[in-house]
Amino acid sequence: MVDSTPALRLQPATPSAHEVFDILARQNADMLTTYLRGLVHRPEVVDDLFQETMMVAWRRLADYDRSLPFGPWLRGIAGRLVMEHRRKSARGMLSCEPEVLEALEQEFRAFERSPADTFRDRLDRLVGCLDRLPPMMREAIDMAYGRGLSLSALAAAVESTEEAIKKRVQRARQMLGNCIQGDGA
Amino acid sequence: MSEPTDRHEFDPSLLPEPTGDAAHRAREQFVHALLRAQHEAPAEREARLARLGRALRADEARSRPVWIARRWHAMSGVAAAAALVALVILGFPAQQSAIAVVQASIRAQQSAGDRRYEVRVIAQTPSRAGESGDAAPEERAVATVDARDSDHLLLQARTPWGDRLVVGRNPKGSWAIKPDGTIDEYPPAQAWPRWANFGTSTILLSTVEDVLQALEKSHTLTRGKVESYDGVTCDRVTARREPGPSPQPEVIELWIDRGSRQIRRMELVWPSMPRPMGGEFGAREPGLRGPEGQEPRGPDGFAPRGPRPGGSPGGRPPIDGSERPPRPAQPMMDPPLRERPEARPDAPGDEHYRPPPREGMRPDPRRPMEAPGPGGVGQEMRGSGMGGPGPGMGGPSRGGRHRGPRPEFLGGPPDFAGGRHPPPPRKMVFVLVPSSPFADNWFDAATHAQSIPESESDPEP
Repeated sequence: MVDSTPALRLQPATPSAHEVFDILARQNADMLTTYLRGLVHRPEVVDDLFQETMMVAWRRLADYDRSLPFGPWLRGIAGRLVMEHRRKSARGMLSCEPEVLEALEQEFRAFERSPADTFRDRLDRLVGCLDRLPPMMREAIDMAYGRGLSLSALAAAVESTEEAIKKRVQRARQMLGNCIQGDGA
Repeated sequence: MSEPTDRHEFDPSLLPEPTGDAAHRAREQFVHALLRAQHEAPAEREARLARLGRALRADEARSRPVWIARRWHAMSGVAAAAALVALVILGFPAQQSAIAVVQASIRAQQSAGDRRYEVRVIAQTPSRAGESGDAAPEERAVATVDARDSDHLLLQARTPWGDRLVVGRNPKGSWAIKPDGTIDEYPPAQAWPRWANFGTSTILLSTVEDVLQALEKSHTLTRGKVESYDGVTCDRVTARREPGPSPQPEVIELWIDRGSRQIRRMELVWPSMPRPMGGEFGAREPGLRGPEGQEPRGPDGFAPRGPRPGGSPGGRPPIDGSERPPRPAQPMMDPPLRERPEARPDAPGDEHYRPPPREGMRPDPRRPMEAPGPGGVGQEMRGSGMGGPGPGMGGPSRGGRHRGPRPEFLGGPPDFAGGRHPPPPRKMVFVLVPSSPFADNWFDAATHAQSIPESESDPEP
């Protein structure tokens, strides 16, 4: 805006970088954890990578281009750390080839375009999409994610085969993805 | 059936499988992650953040320069206390705190997704003898600002006479649509025109993001008490510049959502400026705004393309409005002063005044504006109503003579003190309003060029 005609400055001010970063970290914590969970299964690894990503971001804050959003920058760091971790141990990792990382980034960007104040607010859309699932799929998702049932327990609970349940959960995730990203359920 | 496992223990055999192409796998992994996030306990999040906080503090302590630590320890208790008191009195912590809030907000704005602000103005209060300043100032909606991120911005404004100005930014650069519907495109590094003369006032063409970016350089920030705005708990920040000859607003008030750091409301306040004599369009110095000495203009009322002294190639405004001295405003298509009843020196000078409506010639300026948008086509702007889109169109009415002054983009900072441009409004208010996601091409010039009809170009019948 405000044109850059001679500006009268009072000011000091190196802002408190720590305070700024603290706010940014809180704002992006849910997003970053979700991003990492999309690539890594083991919770303790997710926690470690979360902390490592934030620490790298903190130390390299000076490199951050302030004209760009913070979230993608953070995900860029996280993606590199995930790849690095995978080179050491592939256990508990989901697909994280470069092209998958790129596609995952696109998913997040599309998700972040939806008008909402916080990542948590955007997550509320998931509830609406869950309600639109066929009852059997919704039940499978609830048991797997909400109640934490194992595949065998879930199959027993709904009197179906493990293979059928796996397919059902997979199909439900695809439908949810289409619904959340607005591709139609 | 077995007992539910711990929330962390999601059965790996239910994980997304590495089948399909990258997009397919990414989509499924994304949904999987969202589902896991949905069922995370708040305590887990807090524990993660607390752990991070401890690590950050430890890291900061390790990286603190040794000489600072030594000096501090060497300082006597009394000296240390005095230093602390001085800091508090000088208000640096308060300023830094306000800056931190604004910087966090800048980042939040950049990733907040599609959103719309409505821009309302309150005119300068009457200041000439005989005019009462008791009436409540009218708040008039003049524009909408749509944003996706720092690369995707769109500002649509309408003058009191129904002319429509549109400026936008996308990754290819900035662009503007002039009242005649033609597109001006600027190189990526170049900003769109910052000011437009609406005839009755000079309006700042800006976005919330741009205002925030400029705040630190030109204003002193102070943080106020937390306030509730529209049911949302907000941090309050006031930005103030020293009084002086600058077109910038003197005070900028911010209401920042404490949770999301989104700007809920922003007010730009200019000092009271007496309107120069000469009618509601400000001073009309012969040779400046009159027909004589007028810079040649195209039929659209804008300066012709091509280099000009002090200007950038193509007749476009410079990146920084201050690089070029302000050019005298040109009324362009204005009919001579004597023939415009609304511009007579004895005509009401208040910005609230509008010339009498002429059937079929000009849209009712109080009609709500059509603010088209994906999911919002035809939706009316909230607020007290701004210039209507014209009969069935998104621009001034057709088939009649344009009675008001043509709007113009300014090539540099406005000249309020010299009276070359009408004063800014007393206040411009940006208010976050509900909106639907915008279409992918919403920030492209072509999308909006189509919706602006050909302008009237017959100043006189």
